[in-house]
Amino acid sequence: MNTIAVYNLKGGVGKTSAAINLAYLSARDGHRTLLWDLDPQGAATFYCRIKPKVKGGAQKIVQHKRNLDPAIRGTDFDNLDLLPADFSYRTFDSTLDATKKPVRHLASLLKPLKKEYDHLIFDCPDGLATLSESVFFAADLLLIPVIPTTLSLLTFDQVKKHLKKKTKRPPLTLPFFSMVDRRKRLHKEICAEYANGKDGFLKTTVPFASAVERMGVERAPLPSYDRRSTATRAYQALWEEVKEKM
Amino acid sequence: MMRGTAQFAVPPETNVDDVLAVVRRHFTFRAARSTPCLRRYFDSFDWLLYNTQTTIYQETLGKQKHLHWQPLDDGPPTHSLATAETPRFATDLPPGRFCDDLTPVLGYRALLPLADVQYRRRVFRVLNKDKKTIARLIVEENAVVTNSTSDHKASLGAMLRVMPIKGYENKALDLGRLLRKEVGLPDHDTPLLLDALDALGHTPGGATGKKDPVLDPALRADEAVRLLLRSLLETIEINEPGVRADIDTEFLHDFRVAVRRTRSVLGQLKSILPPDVLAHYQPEFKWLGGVTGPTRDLDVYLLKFETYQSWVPPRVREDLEPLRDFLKVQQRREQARLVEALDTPRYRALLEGWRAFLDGPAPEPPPSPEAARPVLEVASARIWRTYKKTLKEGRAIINNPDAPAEALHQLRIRCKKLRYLLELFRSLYPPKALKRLIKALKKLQDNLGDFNDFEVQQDTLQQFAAQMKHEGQTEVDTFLAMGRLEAYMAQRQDETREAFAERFLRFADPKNQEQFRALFK
Ligand SMILES: Nc1ncnc2c1ncn2[C@@H]1O[C@H](COP(=O)(O)OP(=O)(O)OP(=O)(O)O)[C@@H](O)[C@H]1O
Ligand SMILES: [Mg+2]
Repeated sequence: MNTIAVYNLKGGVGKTSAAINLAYLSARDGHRTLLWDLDPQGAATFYCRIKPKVKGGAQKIVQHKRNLDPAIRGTDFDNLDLLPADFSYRTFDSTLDATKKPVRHLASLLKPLKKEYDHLIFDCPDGLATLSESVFFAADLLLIPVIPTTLSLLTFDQVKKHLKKKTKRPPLTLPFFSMVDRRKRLHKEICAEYANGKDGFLKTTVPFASAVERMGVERAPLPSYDRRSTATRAYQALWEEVKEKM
Repeated sequence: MMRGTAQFAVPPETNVDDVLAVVRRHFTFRAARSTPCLRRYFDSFDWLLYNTQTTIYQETLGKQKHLHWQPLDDGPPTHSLATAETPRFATDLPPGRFCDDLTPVLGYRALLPLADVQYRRRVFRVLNKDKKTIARLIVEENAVVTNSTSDHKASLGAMLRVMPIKGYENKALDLGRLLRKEVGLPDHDTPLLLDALDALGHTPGGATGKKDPVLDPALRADEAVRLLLRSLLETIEINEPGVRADIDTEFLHDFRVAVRRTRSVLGQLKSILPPDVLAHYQPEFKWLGGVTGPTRDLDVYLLKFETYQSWVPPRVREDLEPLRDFLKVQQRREQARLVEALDTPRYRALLEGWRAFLDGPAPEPPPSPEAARPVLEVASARIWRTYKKTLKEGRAIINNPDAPAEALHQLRIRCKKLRYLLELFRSLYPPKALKRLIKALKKLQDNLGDFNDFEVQQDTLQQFAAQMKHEGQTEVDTFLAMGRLEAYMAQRQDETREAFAERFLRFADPKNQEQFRALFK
């Protein structure tokens, strides 16, 4: 099983949009895919039209690896399942801190899933505490959407430093530009500067597109209702690039 | 299978749309267009997938093609792949889990099309108040089954399938209950593949997947032997089309094994068959073994080619490619010769005469007193004698470090005979004990087989080289690489020779001896 986390310290950068669209494309390829919505806000869960509810909450899940499976729900799409968000996830950090090995615990919970799924994708909340560390420990790939602005790059630098200094076994970090608005001079310049793969940036950039925003109304992954938009094609290209890195 | 899965047959007099009208009173669902769908089912000729309770099919829906591997009971696929290609071998699949998991199941077997099912499919999504899909109701209509190798055509009745969604199984159960109780549809548990095969008149797992006959220990020995020989003849007949078509090397392999076993019975149970029959059929089967040999040898060479390449340093591996091309040409040539042999009146007469003899009554009086004894006695005595000879010949080699290769060759043949006897009469003995002995014997055979193969292959390499040289065009690098391969084989042959003593002593250890004695003495 390949484990992919979509993460950024900064909020509102397109994490959830990337997570659900990539999960959908993975499933469409025929890979058995599980999306775990770790964000108590439950945006990914909402897009799947699933109730943001896990019986017993984070507490129960953390108790035993057997407790994950009953919480999983099938989505409307073949091969794509979701582990929904739950309100209790807002204190996930302290729930993990109470276990014997806080940072490794999450990874150990995933063991039984290895046989059931080919790809596990985490949609992470922002922040840098025990939950993020656990995700870094469990993940093989860390996808980081970055808006091409100076400030966003500064946040990305912080994440990079943190991974280098504080994380024991950092996953392969794959930053990519998200919500790119070609009409903005700064966006264009920054994307050009990183086009040659500087700092490990992927080639694909996800454009700012109203089709992505419409996911909130459609409550479905973008490629499932819009096959042609530039954003759909960007997510497809992104998925191809990610697969190559696996 | 997932809780909530259900299948219903729609009787011919029931209208599917009436059924849907009833469902609509209790559930909200979104209708879907009816789409044409084609499923092409595959298995190896010997039903390796069926025997593991799974099936592989390619599904064509509009422009999309998927390859699925799923439990036979139509449970959700465990492996899927979006691909327009139909793989012939497991190793044709793109690298990944599908390929990794299928390779050990199929080995070198080819996937052959079993049946095509064409139908129209409508998928109804049962929705909750958030318009989330919580179950699927699938209608399959107008199904026609065909088989690419014959003109056979058959139709199937309409089917309804309830497919649960993880976490919402109760809804599927409710839907199933409705169809069963209120609509009164009969449950239908047979998977689509089995319905399709049944409609075509095929029995899965039958034919080449057949088991050796189970013998009654008290049966007259000559009757029992005729049963065994008839079963071997069936194997020969069943594999013949595959041998001719040359789609999978396993057809020829199984064909040859059956021929060799037949020869082994003729040779080892001489007294049981009438002398004139023996005199006629022994040379005939020897001939058949002979004409099928060269193709098999070349098949093996080609199957092992990558292994051979791994035996030489990486930088010269490419240099062996001309040898592979050469082997391929030879293989095609020998295959053509083999088919010619199968087209001869001699071959026809052999099979027809042999079948007539085996189907006829057992000769009265029996050709020898032994022929009239219970098969268990005869088999045990035969096995015991062969076993003792095996031990004697093996010990002679151990006691003489300079024993010639010929002695090992002799022992190899002896072991083969023992193995055939154990396997042919396997149904007469306790399975567990016998399995243990066969396993021990097999370890010894592997060693002797390797020793022999290395020797033979060095010779054939020389022959190939001579022939290639004669034909011209081959670069000297290729000959150099072949030389390296030969040297490596010689070295491996020495190593196998050194390992012989240990292998033999393990086979001949007191525990195994005790077991042989208990079963056959
Ligand atoms: N490429 C895009 N073009 C236009 N709008 C986008 C794009 N990507 C995301 N959005 C919109 O921006 C908002 C935030 O996106 P998203 O939820 O994917 O980000 P996030 O990083 O997961 O946010 P959060 O930190 O709240 O979890 C959403 O309303 C989404 O529809
Ligand atoms: Mg989010």
